[in-house]
Amino acid sequence: MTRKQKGAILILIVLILGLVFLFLRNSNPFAQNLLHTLESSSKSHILGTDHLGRDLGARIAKGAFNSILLSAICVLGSLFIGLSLGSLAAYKKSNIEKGLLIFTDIVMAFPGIVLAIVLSALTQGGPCAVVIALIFTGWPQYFRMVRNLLKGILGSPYVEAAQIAGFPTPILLGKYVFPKLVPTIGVMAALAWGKTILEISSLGFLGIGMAPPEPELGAMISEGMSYMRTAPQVVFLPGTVIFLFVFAFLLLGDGKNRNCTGGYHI
Amino acid sequence: MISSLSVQHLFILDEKKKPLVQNVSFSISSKSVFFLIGETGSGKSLIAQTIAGTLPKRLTAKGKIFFEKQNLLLLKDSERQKLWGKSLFLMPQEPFSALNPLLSVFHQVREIFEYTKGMKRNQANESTKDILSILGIPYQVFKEKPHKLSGGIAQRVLLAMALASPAKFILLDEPTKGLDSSRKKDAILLIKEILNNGKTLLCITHDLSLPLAIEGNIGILFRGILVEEGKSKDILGSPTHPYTQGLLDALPERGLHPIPEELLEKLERTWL
Repeated sequence: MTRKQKGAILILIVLILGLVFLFLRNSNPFAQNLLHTLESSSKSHILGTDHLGRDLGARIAKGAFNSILLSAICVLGSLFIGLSLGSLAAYKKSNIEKGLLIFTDIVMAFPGIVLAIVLSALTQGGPCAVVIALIFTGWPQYFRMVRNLLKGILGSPYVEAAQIAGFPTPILLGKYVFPKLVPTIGVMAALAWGKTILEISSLGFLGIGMAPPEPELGAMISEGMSYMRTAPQVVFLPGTVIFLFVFAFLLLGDGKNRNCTGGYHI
Repeated sequence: MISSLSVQHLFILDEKKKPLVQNVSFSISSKSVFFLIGETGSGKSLIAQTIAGTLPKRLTAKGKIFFEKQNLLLLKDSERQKLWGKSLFLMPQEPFSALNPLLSVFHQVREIFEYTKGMKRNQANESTKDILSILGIPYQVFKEKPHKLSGGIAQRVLLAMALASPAKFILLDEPTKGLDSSRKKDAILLIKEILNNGKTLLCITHDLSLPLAIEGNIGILFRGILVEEGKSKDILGSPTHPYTQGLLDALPERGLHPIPEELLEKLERTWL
């Protein structure tokens, strides 16, 4: 099994387990039962309950899906912006490119987490602030990579040859230029996805992101901190899921990277 | 005979106005081949780039290049793009970097039929099979990506693309580069095949065995100056210019005598 497959399978396993937990009995992640708080594993609650007596398994599953969804939006959003602005900069040499480069330099100096804190303080909070902040600080890396790669690809002999062979521009772009971006950008996106999950969880830990009744892995760790001595599973289980996700995405990205570079580790 | 392409008083200057190619004039009659021979750095690839319209922006070309009643040097980019693939085709050197690494051999040749000749998929598949088998490309490699090919096969794929193209005028940039002598013989046969198909060729090479084997016209380029031009038989049979004589003496069949340094120095003094 390649690293890429291992990573993908690990993500799938976590998600399928999540689905299972969401369809079990007592699988409402919001239902409180103050008579059964901080319980360990039992028949009715396989992974136990948290400090308000909510089913831990269901909450972790819901939180994991939320994390995957939010991070997917962040990664795809920054990928889209980076790809379009990067292509624009590679094509339009001149002032547009210079302007974009200066702008990305400014944006790259922004710390994403601090920006998210400021944004959620300014607005009503909620996942929107997190997504906007992470997209805003996430796209420059794709922009730079796309621009540099495209410049190289557009000047490469086979693209020139295809141009002189008389292929129409859409074919040239679709079959000769952009496919060459996929390996690098794919690896970047997979690695960034793992990192984004970690960032979202960190923000959740600080209390920014999903509004309270909605489970979020980072927020669950922060809520469970006070009960860590009596009921360690409240902290360790969400932590394990975060670790598994980040590890799986790193495997996925690194495996894809090895596919493309012939085994070299970059 | 109708001339297909004629280059008149072509100068190519670099950004410091230093001439890289000086006063080069030649013409190619249609359905024939013209060999532009010269050593590395003599400016032969620059001439090819000027004709194809891919000269780097920092260089400027002056003079006239007439092709299909148009002066190529005065064309706008959009007008030049209309010529590309339709009436002019450049076969680049270095087959491995000139082929798309992501598409199979068959796919790349088929695209020429599909997009420049406007054929339907089925028809293009048939034509591609025909042309690849004419050029002796084994059936097993049709679906392979270029990096799995041997140098000779990759070269043939490029020739297949040139042959498939509807363009009547084909620029061959170093068609025998990196081929051993038996492969070179194959390449010579393939070039003859292309000529028999009624195409006009400008062949840029430093390999004198090509003009010795294929009948056509020849121009000898030395430091950006066309020192001798005429029928390949006449020039290579009885060279008049000392540089051409030196080139011929450097052939392995004639004893592999390198061109004497004194001769080169003397030529540079008198010519440049």
